[in-house]
Amino acid sequence: MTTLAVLPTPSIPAIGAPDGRPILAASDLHKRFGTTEALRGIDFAIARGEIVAVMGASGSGKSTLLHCLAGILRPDHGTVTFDGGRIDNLDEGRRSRLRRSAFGFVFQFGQLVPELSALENVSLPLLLDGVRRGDAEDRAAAWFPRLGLDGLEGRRPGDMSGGQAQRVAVARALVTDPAVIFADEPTGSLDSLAGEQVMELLTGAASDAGVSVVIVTHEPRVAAYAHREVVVRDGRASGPGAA
Amino acid sequence: MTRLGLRLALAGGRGAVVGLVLTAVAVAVGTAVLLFALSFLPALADRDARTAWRETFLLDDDATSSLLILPVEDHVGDRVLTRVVVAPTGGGDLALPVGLPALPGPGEAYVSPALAQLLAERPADELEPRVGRVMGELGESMLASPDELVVVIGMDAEALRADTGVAVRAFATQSTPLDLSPIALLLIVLAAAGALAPVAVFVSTATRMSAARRELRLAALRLVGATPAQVARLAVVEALVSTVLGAAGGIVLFIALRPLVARIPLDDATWWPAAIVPPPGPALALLVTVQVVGAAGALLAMRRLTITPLGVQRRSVPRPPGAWRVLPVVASIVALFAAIGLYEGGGDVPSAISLGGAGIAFLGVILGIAFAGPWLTLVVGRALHRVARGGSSLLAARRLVDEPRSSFGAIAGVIMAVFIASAFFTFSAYTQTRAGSAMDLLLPSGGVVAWLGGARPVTDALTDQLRVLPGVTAAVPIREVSLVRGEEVAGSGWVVTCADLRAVLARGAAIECAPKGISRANTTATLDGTFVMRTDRDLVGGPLPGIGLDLAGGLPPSAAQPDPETVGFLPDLVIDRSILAPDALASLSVTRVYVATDGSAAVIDRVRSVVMAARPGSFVVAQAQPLAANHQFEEIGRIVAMGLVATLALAGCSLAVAVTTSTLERRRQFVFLRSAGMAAASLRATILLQAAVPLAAVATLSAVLGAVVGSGILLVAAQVVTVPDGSLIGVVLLSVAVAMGVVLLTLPPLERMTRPTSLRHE
Repeated sequence: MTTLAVLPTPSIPAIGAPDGRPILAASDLHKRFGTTEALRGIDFAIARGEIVAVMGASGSGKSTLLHCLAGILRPDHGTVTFDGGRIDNLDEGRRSRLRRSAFGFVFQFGQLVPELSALENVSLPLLLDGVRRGDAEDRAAAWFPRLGLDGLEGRRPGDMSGGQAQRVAVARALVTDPAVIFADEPTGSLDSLAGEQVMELLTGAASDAGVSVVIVTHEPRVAAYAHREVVVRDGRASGPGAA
Repeated sequence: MTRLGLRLALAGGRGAVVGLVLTAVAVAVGTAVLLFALSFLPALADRDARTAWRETFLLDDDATSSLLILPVEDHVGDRVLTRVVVAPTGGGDLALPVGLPALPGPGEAYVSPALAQLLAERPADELEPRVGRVMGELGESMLASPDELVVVIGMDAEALRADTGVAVRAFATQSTPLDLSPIALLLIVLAAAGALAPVAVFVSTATRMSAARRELRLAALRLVGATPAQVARLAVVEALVSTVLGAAGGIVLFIALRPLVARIPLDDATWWPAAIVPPPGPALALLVTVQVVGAAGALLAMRRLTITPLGVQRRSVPRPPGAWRVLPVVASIVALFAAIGLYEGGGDVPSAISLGGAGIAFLGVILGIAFAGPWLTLVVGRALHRVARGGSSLLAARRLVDEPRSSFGAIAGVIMAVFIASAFFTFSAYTQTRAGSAMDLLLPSGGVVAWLGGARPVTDALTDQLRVLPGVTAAVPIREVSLVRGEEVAGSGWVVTCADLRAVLARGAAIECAPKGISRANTTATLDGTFVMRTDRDLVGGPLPGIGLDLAGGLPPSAAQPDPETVGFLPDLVIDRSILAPDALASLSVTRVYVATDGSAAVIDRVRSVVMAARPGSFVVAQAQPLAANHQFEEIGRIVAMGLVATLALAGCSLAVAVTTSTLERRRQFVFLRSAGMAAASLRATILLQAAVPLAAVATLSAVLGAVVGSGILLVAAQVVTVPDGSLIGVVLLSVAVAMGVVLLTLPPLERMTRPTSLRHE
């Protein structure tokens, strides 16, 4: 049985930016897919080191919001700024570079490359960013004990449990030292115990590293790990955490 | 259940329809190729039947024969003109072949439509003198092909008899089989075997296109209560939809391509499209076999899977391919050489068996490469993994190591095309060397030699007539004497002015004209241009009967050996005509005339016309005209080259389908990676590396193997050692470039399908 590293419970900072300025902010976001209006003027902000849960029912627009914030989708209207600079008007190449170097991603499942070992999966973002293979694997290996993955470096995703695979995904999200991690239903495919372990490790490691985390979830238990919640309903933000 | 299967196959979404169409196209191409292969022998038989009337094997005693016939191969430009000179002898009841309106009288002729058209287009002196007065056209039942140039010329019986006309009972109605050279026949068999392999690859690749979706569909059916037998039946029905459509498409393709295929010449003749028909029995068997193979393939694929209501599981994870996979290809190469050795060596084994064995072994080599390919891909993948520095090379290497079978499957078609091309280019390099040998050694550029058959004396008048033709610079008549030792003819001496001979022979300048007027000119040129002397010492020192010459002591002996390639083209001795008494000279007939021209086709045709008009049975060869055997190679080379283009096209389709399938199988991972910042360039690099690395490595090996097989065949069949030249590298580079071009074509749609915005659908 894998022994999990004991991590401190994240301290909860005040809502908003501890340093007074959001690391990532969105203003009046609109996004339409055909006739469906997914976002209808959402404002959003997250401070450095802050963890925000975006909640809402299926089809409410929460994943679309995450994709717009991460530069995966371009909003039809509104702005997204990261570290003071607009990113919604960057071309795909620049947004790709930004996602690769400044953001990390954890998805629900199936994000690991099945042919690669766990170590190779974690080092992949660094390799794609031009880091030498030896250095990339060294940096990747450092995350394994921190995330309770000792001894799993050579395993393939198919040979790991869902929880282990998700922790490898967390390591992969963290290995580039991102400023923001986007997690889309990170525990959606896990049982409650494994889900809790993943959330503890994700939020703990993020807090340690001062990384902001945007978690999209519909589970209150997952949202409880966040400093604040933003509820998305019919493409609009509401709730106490809304910006 | 059958109806449901049909519905699922035809209305299973865009992916299913694309898979279905691709499989059907692949089956259609395969079916059409096989139908053409089946039609080859019937088409040859049809051609033989149409040309039987020109044959001379119904020999008869001159006294009782009804016909004298003399078929002669002539040329107009670079096209073959078949001249058939005939004269009725009055004996027997002569039945004319269907298509010949009447037997032409002396000076009259019946021509094929293509020749009639040529006569109308060409200046009169190039063609008309050797044809005569045209009385009408020959029917198509007398012609090998629509564009064949044929003339039936009437002649006086006495004159034709003197010109070596053959006395026959009647016009033949059955032909002797086509006389293809053994290597040419071997090439045809090997090319047919080779053509099928890429088709098989395409079929298998196309089938994979929608396999995953089909498997999920079948699992869903199991969930709602379908039994394994019902699921198997559904799979068979789905497979049959492709194969039935493919077979029907193959028939349509066959009919549509027939007029084009009919234009491909073999043995200097194209084909009558209507004659390209497969025999009904084997054709029906082929169409049924395609269905059986399709259904069996579907059932076999099902056996590897366990389709449960909860999804599809592989029965077992396939073990990585081992090094032993190279054994079949090695065994096939050994078998191929053995079969060719048997074929060439004659012996008790019928040639059909040894030739068939060679074809099967060659197919075995190709399939052996396909079998060994996954192991080679695995080896290449492991090597790439060791040296991989970036994310793209790591992703590509791991994919190659994990999926060597499907990774090789993507490039298998190209690899086979490379193998066939390299084996063929080894042949072709050899035949091109041969094509430039004998005639080039004998004649200079623009040179023509006319061998004058028959017993009618030919005087210098013919050469005088040739000399005055515009464009002719020299015409040298050769009289010939036999050098007899005991009862045997041991050699020949040419009676000619030595200086004249030097003027018309390709390497005449090297002949040393002896002061006594008798030159030891039995010099035969070797391929490197040096001259050697024959060493038949017995020839030296005997009398030459009939012309009052004695060679005793007149010639120095030589230790050099003759070159067998040119023996027969050059004499053993050159006897200067000036040393013969006039009556001795007059007793010798001109047997050949050497003509030097400016090399233009019109002048050469005029020379032919003058010679043929004087002696219809002559055989005229121009330096520029390829020898018949080499011409056959050239034609077969053209057919193989066309086959290779088709093979590469098919291989390109297979590659495109395989790359697309392989990327779509990992679409989810690529979408996630691109969402996480993987650049589009990295995706492109991954896909390209995945195809290019094994392709370059295995294609090089395949090309070397093809050259080894090609050289080996030549060594066994023709005792010729060949060394592959730069064309081998050209073949590899061209194939890899074509393949990479195909992969590049697939990149834009694949980029679109994996762009980060697709994440919301994952």
